[in-house]
Amino acid sequence: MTKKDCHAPVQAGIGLRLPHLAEVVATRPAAGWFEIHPENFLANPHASELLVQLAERYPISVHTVGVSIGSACGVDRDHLLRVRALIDRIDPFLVSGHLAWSTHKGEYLNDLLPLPYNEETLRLVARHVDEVQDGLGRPYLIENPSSYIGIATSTMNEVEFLGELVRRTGCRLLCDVSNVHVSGHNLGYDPYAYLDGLPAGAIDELHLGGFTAEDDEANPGAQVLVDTHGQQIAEPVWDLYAHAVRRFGLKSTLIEWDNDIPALDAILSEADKADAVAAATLIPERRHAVAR
Amino acid sequence: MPSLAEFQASVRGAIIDGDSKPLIPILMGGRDPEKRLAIHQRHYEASLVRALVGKFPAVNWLVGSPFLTDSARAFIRRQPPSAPCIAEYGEDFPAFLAGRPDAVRMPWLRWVGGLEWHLGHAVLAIGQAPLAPETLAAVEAERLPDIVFHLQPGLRYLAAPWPVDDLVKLFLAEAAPERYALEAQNVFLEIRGERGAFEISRLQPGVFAFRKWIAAGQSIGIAAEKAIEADPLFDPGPALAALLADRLATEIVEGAP
Repeated sequence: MTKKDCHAPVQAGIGLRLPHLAEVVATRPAAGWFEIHPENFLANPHASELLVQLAERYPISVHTVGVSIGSACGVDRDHLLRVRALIDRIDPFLVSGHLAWSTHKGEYLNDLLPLPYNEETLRLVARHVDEVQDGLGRPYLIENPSSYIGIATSTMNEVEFLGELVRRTGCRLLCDVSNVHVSGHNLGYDPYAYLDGLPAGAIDELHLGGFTAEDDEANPGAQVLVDTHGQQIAEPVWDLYAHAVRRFGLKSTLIEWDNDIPALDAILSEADKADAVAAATLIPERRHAVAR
Repeated sequence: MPSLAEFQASVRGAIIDGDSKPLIPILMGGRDPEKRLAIHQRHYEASLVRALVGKFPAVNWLVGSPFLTDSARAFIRRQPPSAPCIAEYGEDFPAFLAGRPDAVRMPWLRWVGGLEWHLGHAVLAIGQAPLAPETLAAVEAERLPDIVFHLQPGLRYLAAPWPVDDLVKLFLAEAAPERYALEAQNVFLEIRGERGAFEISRLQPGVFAFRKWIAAGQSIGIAAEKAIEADPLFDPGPALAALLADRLATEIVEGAP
């Protein structure tokens, strides 16, 4: 596929991390598209130069990890300007970030931290979504987080929060299917009901990533799922992905692998599997539609 | 009910200072949700320690992983990142390392770390087209001292009281001699990097000062004065010619003909 073929590819793509950058430039693998974290490129002119070359050939999705849209102290405008400058060079087909926060009064906590879901947070995040979309000059997709704790000051659940955010701002959503599975396990909700509750018309991208099961010190004898992006996608997540495809249709789907990064072929194989799962999910539905 | 700002201040305190008490009444998740918060605390520490240690491989080789890792843990609590580009985080870490109690017997540590910091950033640069010599030839002689250059973005300058370039070269060559006597010696280093490659050169004190001040945005005249302070025998003419011959200048930003 070349960039001109499609601006929102439905073939699965993979996260492009710096250890694979030179190989991808040299070998031009048959990937549907690449996702990058701008924070890995903003201080790296050499990598940015290579990325600009790739963007001539592949569709690119930009997934911010440092915009901190939920910070009570505001969005880091300097960072936003730097992201905008990169975006203007590579013209991605999507730009996204997390329903989370990372920055507190000039300190960057290098994690995607949880938010209480209530009216105060909703007003703040909605304001920041507008600010970010204005700053970037394009839509900004919001991704559901992976969660380990709930916050008692929440007055609505995450699905209600995201739905209201879409209603107030018109923003689009990125549904991380693995995060739904992880959070559902950790906080005790039904991941299928979660997907069914999201506003289907607002979903523009899906994510899949590996997680790690650890002993849950909060619940001795049980396990907590940690969103490590360090291994293959688990079988229950593939099943949930099939449900997401049935509910949202075929969307640009990303394989995330950020830790213990394997050979490029291993990640591309996961992308092939995502394509196969989506195809197997949709073909019976198409047959059914034709029969009707 | 805490405001969002109060909540986030408490989470910050839990992650960086290890004080979870204000959050306990409002956390949910299992029978002991404070333990779930520890997942975020561990991620903060592990991700930044990994990033810092990865930037100083020669220091790690010289001092050992336990010392460097413990120091990194202390550093991230003392001085959290201020921005999301973690590649830019850690410039002050070599000085912090040098202030650790165990560092007294390693007075060269700060300078090895400083050299690694510069190397790590120089190699990310993209070389630019050098200034054509005829561009400078068109400048009237009396205006030459007012010229301000831009130099190649992958240039860094480091003066050190120890021959730390030798230590880094030993590390890169993976050649650890059974005994190595490091003796104090002032070295004036130019690090030039571009697209993943780099070289380290030793300069004379006057040439070092001249190039360092030009790199800092000073005019040729001021840089020459600083160079003569560093070395009374410094001759600006040949130094300027060498700067151009080495293709270090990329454009004239002030005083162009």
